[in-house]
Amino acid sequence: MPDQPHPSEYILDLAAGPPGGPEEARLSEQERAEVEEQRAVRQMLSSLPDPQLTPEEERDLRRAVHAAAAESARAAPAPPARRRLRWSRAWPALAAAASLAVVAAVALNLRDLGDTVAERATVTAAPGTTAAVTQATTTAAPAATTTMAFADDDMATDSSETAAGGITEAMAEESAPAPAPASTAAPSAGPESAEAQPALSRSLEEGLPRLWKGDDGYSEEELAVRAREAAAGQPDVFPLPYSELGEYAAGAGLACWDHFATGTDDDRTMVLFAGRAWIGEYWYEAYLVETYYPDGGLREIFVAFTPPGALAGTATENNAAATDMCAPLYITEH
Amino acid sequence: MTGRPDPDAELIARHLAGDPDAFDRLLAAHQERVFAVCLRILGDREKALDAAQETFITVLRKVDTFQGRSAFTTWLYRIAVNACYDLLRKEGRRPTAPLPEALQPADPAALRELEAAEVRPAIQRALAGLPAEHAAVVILSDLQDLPLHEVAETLQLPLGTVKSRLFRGRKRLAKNLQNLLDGAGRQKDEANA
Repeated sequence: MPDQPHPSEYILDLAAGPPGGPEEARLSEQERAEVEEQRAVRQMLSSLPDPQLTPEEERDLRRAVHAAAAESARAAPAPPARRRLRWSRAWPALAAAASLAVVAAVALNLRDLGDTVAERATVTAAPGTTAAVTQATTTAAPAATTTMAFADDDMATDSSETAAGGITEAMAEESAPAPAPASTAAPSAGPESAEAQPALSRSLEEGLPRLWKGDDGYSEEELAVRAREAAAGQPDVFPLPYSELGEYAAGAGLACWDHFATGTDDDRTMVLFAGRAWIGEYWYEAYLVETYYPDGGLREIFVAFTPPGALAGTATENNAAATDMCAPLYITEH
Repeated sequence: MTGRPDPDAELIARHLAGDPDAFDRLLAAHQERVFAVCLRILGDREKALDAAQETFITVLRKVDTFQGRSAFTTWLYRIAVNACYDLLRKEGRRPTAPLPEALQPADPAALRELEAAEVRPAIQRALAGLPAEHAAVVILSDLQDLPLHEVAETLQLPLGTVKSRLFRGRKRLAKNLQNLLDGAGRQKDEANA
């Protein structure tokens, strides 16, 4: 009987009404006890008076909100970094590289590499930039061994080279005037590795970052353009000044960042983080690339977010999913 | 049905039109309830204040994106509950053990009934011991008196999930508050006798 309500629903409905109704009289002893229990707890809770703010707390709350309003008003006219990057080619390469990194990393000694990368990232980061890096690297390492059940050594070795190269290539394409089709630029994983990829890498491939964070100061026209691009599946990315990243990191966002991959070339180290971020009232699937230079300077941070609503489920459920998928992954190329 | 104009929608419209007092009024209208929800979920007054503050700052920054497809309170509670989840997540999802209520800042309502004041910390502890997702449902339903379909909308859950979490949450509370429930039952029996 598909329409039959679950017993708990039936009991809840009865508990919501007054005691002693005819339907309740037909219940078994045990069911009646359940109804009474539900009703008693509900009454006990509803008898609790609401806590109230003291006048001081109320004043503090208003001040904090006013301060935030003033800060927003000051910050609003300031344009974000306007260097709009067209990474439509680079992102698929980066995503593919990152997904290959999953395979590669599992066959490597993740703890050791994790330490190495953590150290490197911390050392090379500019002052004030270590928090996100160290957070990601230190939280990532202990769980690393949980992903080691798949991929063999050969595939991992190949993949690590390809993956790091892919990231480098992707980064290098930033200045490419006329990008080639993505499919020719991205290294592709074989079917075995595709099967082995955990949720995050699949997610990277299937749901490439499409858009931006909405309140970054772009005009409505620009947002409309980006929205159209997102709707068309056009990958996009926007540069985010560190100050804004800091705001996200310090706030409720960046809830589940993990260091995902690092690629190096002669003069740059690129660190990719991926995860899901809770920003404002939405979950975003987010990818972040940091580029460090030999002088220790952190030059660029790029973040891309999927549009709001891309993740279904409650915050708790999404958080659980995000925690599951935040496998720590490191790729280094020396 | 013409209905009365929605005061929240009116305040939002005025705020967006540049009325400097409108958001204050919106805040004043909802701050107690938001704080109550946060306190019940987090079990800690200071953290509840942080979450309430975060909630209203988020509302302030995002109110221009609120499209009115649901009630403002539904949207507001959703932000508040998520702010609480964020705080819990940052703490490894362990609710802080609440201070004895007597040690917390003065709560004007706390002086109303001595008997209620005695059992209140036990109830608050039991609430704080619930898994956050159960607590949110129980609090919105039984403390904030939201109809279950609104709880579902607020938490973006299917109605059946809300019902099952409410049922299980109350059962768990009943287990943890058995002594109090037994006492209440005895009092009722004596009154009936």
